[in-house]
Amino acid sequence: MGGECAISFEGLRKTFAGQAGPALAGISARVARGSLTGLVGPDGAGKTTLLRVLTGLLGFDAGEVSVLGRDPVREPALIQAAVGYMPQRFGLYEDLTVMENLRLYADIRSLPARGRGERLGSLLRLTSLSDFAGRLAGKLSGGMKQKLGLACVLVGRPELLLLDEPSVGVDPISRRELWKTVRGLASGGMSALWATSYLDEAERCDSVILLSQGRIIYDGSPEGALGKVAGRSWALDGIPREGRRRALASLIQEEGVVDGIVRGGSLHVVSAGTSPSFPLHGGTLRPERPTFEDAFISVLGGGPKGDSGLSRRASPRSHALPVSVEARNLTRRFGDFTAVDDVSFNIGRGEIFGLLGPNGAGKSTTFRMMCGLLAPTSGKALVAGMDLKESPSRARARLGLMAQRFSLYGHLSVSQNLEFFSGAYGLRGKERRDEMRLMREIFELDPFLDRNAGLLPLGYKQRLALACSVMHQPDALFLDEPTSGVDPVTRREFWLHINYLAMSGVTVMVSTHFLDEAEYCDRVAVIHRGRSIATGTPDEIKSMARSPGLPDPTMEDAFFALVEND
Amino acid sequence: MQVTLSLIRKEALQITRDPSAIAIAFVLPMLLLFIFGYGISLDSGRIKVGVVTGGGGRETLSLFSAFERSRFFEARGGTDMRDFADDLASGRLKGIVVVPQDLAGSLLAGRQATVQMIADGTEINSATFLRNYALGALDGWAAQERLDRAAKGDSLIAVNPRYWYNEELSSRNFIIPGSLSIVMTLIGVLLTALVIAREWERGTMESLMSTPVTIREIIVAKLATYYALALISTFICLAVAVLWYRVPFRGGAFALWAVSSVFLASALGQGLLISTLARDQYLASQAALVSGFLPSFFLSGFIFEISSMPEPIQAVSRLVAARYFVGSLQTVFLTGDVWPLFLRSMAAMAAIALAFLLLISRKMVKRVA
Repeated sequence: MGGECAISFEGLRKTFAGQAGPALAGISARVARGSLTGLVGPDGAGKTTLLRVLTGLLGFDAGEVSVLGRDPVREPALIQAAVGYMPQRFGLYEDLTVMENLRLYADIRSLPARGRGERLGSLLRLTSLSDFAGRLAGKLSGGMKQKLGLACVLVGRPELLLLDEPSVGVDPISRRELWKTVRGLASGGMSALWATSYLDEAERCDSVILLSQGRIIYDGSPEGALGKVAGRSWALDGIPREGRRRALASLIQEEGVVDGIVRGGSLHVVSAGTSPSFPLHGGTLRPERPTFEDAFISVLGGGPKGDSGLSRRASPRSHALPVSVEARNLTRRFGDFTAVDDVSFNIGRGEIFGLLGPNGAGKSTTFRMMCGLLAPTSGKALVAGMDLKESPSRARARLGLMAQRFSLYGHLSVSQNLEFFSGAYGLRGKERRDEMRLMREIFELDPFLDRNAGLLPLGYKQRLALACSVMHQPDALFLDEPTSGVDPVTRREFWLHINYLAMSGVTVMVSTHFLDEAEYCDRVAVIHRGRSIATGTPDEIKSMARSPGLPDPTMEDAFFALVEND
Repeated sequence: MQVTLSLIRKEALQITRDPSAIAIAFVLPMLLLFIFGYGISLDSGRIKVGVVTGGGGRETLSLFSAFERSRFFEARGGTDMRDFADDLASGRLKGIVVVPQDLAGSLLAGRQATVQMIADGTEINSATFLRNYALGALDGWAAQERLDRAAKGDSLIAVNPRYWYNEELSSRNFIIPGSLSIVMTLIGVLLTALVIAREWERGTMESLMSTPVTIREIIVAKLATYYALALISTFICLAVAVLWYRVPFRGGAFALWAVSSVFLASALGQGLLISTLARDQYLASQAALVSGFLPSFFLSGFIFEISSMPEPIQAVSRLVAARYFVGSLQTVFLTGDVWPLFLRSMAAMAAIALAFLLLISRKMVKRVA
């Protein structure tokens, strides 16, 4: 063992006390040396547990595990000396500078004094942090923090990298840099196991292990996974905007449909067999190149079937009155830094409006101003024609907010949070009880009711936060990165609810890091350095990047083109 | 060793940049000294009493003037109890002293004269002070009377009270040394528990643990840094106590260091244990306050006399390291180096520290869950 394998495990089993199913249910796999392997799976699939076991930070119940030919139970120190493990939130010392963090890890890894300067310098260049060596780690952007975390892990020249979702919450630009860095290292002979919920990343790995509920459901090349959905991906064009979401809602309930999403002006559908057998809703069908996401959802048993549970409300509120959300020359300065610079947009009733942009572009600041949580320096934020500055509580009662950072009470249990927020939004009596029960059902919160919200897996925190923001049936819903850290299947469910709400007349403003999610929106604004640099439908935005060399640009291509030209 | 030193350097850097560490280690102690030095005084000041001198006569007048002259009383004379009853009820007086009508006659006849003393029982502290000071005043007066008569030929023994170690009977002199135990508890238990819980919360602990660093290196670095921080803070407090508050310091710096070190071992051990059990700052601070700060306040003899507590609570106080520390501190400040006492206290504190360290070594493993 250990010759050609960086990692191998057989019958690995781990159960946590007080949890129904095992976290790892006797799984077996191998990771070849010098390869970049993607570890993909929904939240709570067991990715973090597996990585911790491999690093020797967690014991296990049964099985054989070998990491670089060593046993993580008996020889954890030897493994830890040769492995670079980057936990989900790499713990940087935020009150130390970039260089001090690096030096600490150099000392811990006993990096010899000779050549140390060059080594740290080259790591800073590798992660493009050379200009920030003296900056406090806490003052770095999310993407830069992750890159510094990677640099700290690389200090000891590890033979094997174990990376736990390094790109979660990282903006697209930093995410691409992070990916390129690790890809380059793997090409140089380092082995890496990269846990991720970004399927575009998984698609570019040498090999992929797909975990679900503690079991491996796919282990092989990305191409092999794509082969499973070959000839089953379709684009349904030509359905007018008004009918598109309704058509999708009906399509995904079809027997012959495994998965479906909105993609710009068309619907993207994965059929159960290679011949499409579903109604076309007046559109025209053309085959499309399958994506890894298609394969992933298909291997996991397809996207969510049925309708949004929100439609089961006993007494749905009518959102017939148009509630427009308008930003009029919105500007916010912090000292001499302009976070949001003259941003204007107008969102109509039942429209989904997306805000796209890297970290620090001003998206969250815009959200806070739109909800009346932050006063604009100049300009106006209007909800249903009401200025949030002048009548904040009246306007606020009609809107729901899901903030980017977990904004629930971590020390209250899930049911206590539901109770508190339903009460805070003025729900009483039977309506309150019904609404709480519905939320528990829709978001599958029952197994966690008594658990403190702060201890939930990330995806469930987001579910709870979304539940708390829609319980009072707001006319306008503001979602600041609702799907950050949420796996693809759960993201489908979130969008099922969002689509349903938009169809019933709710005005939705959403920001996202997932560029493919921008395609689900009716219109998007690309925000960069506080300014809105482009606004339009997803197809219009994509066409801005069209060139002879790139006849059919993706949202990602368009985004990078726009940001780079700014 | 190299790794430990590097971790200590990291801790030190963090302390200099972390406002909460500076606040707990330097600002809070000064604030405490200020409060204890000026705000809290267990001295009663002058107690307002009414003295009923219905009978008149030389003896009665001299007894009244004994109360009037006393620095513990602000005495008012009257001829009838009823003159004072309302004032006692409304709290304008804390007590009434009734001199018997026939004081002169009783004394002359050699009969025992009974002086009645009425205290406001709703304020137990004042009532106790009143009783003690009134007895003192009466004793003093009796001695004076005998002295006067001795001059006339009667030979009697005089009562001569003297207060040792704290001649001024100033509570500041024993509160300020005792408060050093609070300062060290704050740093040793609260700050230590907080900083380690923070490492868990921010994920830095998991990152550290994934490296070849041993758990012992992590612990030693934490203990060494916060030990040094607590000692620095202690000696700053010592300087302020002696130079500003003029508290006498009759022992040696070495004794103070030795006793403090052993106490810190138990306090740091307690902080470390809390942080291994409670991995978030909120819980850690609660646990540190309840198990560290409050006992060192209430069960250490710092403010409340242990010997007057119910027996079961006295038994509990024996498990509180601060109990031994407060006594040693007051001794090293006010009395001097009394090594037999120090060694006994140090042995008790060392036993408590050892118990904490044993628990930690069983609880703290290099695992994340």
